[in-house]
Amino acid sequence: MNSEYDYLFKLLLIGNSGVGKSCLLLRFSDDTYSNDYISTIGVDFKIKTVELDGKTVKLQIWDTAGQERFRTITSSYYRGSHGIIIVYDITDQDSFSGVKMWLQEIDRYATSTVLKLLVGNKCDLTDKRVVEFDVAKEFAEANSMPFLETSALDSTNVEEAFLTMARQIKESMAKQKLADDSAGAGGANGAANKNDKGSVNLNGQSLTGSSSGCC
Amino acid sequence: MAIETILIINKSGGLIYHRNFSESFASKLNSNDFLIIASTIHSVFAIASQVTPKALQLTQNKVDYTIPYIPMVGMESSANQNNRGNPEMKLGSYKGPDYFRESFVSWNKSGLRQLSTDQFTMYIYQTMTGLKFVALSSNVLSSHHTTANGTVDKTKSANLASQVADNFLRKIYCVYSDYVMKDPFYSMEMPIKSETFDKKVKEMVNNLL
Repeated sequence: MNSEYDYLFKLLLIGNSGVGKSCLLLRFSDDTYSNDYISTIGVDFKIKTVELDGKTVKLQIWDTAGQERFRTITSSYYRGSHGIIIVYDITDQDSFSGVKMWLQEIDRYATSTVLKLLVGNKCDLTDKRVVEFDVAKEFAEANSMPFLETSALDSTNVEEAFLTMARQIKESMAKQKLADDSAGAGGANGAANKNDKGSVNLNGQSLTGSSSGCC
Repeated sequence: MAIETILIINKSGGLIYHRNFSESFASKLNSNDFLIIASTIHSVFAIASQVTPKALQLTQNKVDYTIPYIPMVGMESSANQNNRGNPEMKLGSYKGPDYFRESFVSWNKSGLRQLSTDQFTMYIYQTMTGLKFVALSSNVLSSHHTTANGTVDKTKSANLASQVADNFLRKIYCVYSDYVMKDPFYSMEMPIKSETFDKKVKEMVNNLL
């Protein structure tokens, strides 16, 4: 039985073809690097187990193909993902312009609460840089998502990119749970709760009408 | 039908339950392998449903998605039940000893339902909410079904196996609704940790043997 882990998070890697999504993932999951370019066909999976606040969390990362011709069933990849990492190449202006298109895809297919992260890969190639850090940073802020520059080659920020995401997901899940719980408890004393949109008050009005409080 | 493994895959392609029932190829895989298998099944399933509409246009006749009810699949036979004399531990719903008693319509209208190879057969039951129950069976679909006039009808035996599997997996779904969905500590779309559920599934698989 799968008792060895408490949570399973679905992370999605998207971005133009050749920006280094698979390399980034290889660095994170196996701490290796390969210079060969092998185009991902459809989707590739990597799993990494991490400990967060005493809970065992499995991060399942769906590494999607950047190439248009492999992207037939995209919507089923976006569905239910907890976090999406958009990768671009700092030496390739096109891949940065493509980020806008990827954001549209996210809006179309993913849930609105999904966590996003912008990653500029290949930051070791400083002499070939065409996308400035500040420009990307500004863009990320405008779209309210965190931004990091990474290098799969010298493993700068790679671990951080994924762990930041995992921590955020864990936090937002805890928050969600708290909101659910308080909405449930708020039902006991009537209209005390304002944000109980989704919850149904099963307790209703007390018949005697004299009791006060929830206990 | 000997079931090797039961998998439950949530609507986003994550594996939320897996259980091996015998020491075979499946037990040589670790949990990460199973996660990858589950997500791959999910992807292949999605691809299959993209192929289907085109294929259905080619066939003119209407497809009947009704799956007949096969009594007591995965349930204890009544003879055994009488011997045990332990009525409160029986499986089944308030309606009777079986979970349901009528034929039902499959929700899995365009996806993959069965995958046959030389080593194993895989059956997939999809619920209306996109949850997938997968059974891996070591039986290879070669057990010939002999018809009245002595000819071997391969398609018929394959059909029967798939119907048994659908009935069985639908029952696992019933057990899931009872023991996982009603567990107040279960967080949606996350791994199932209910021991009672695990026990019931094991019981049902053993009854099937």
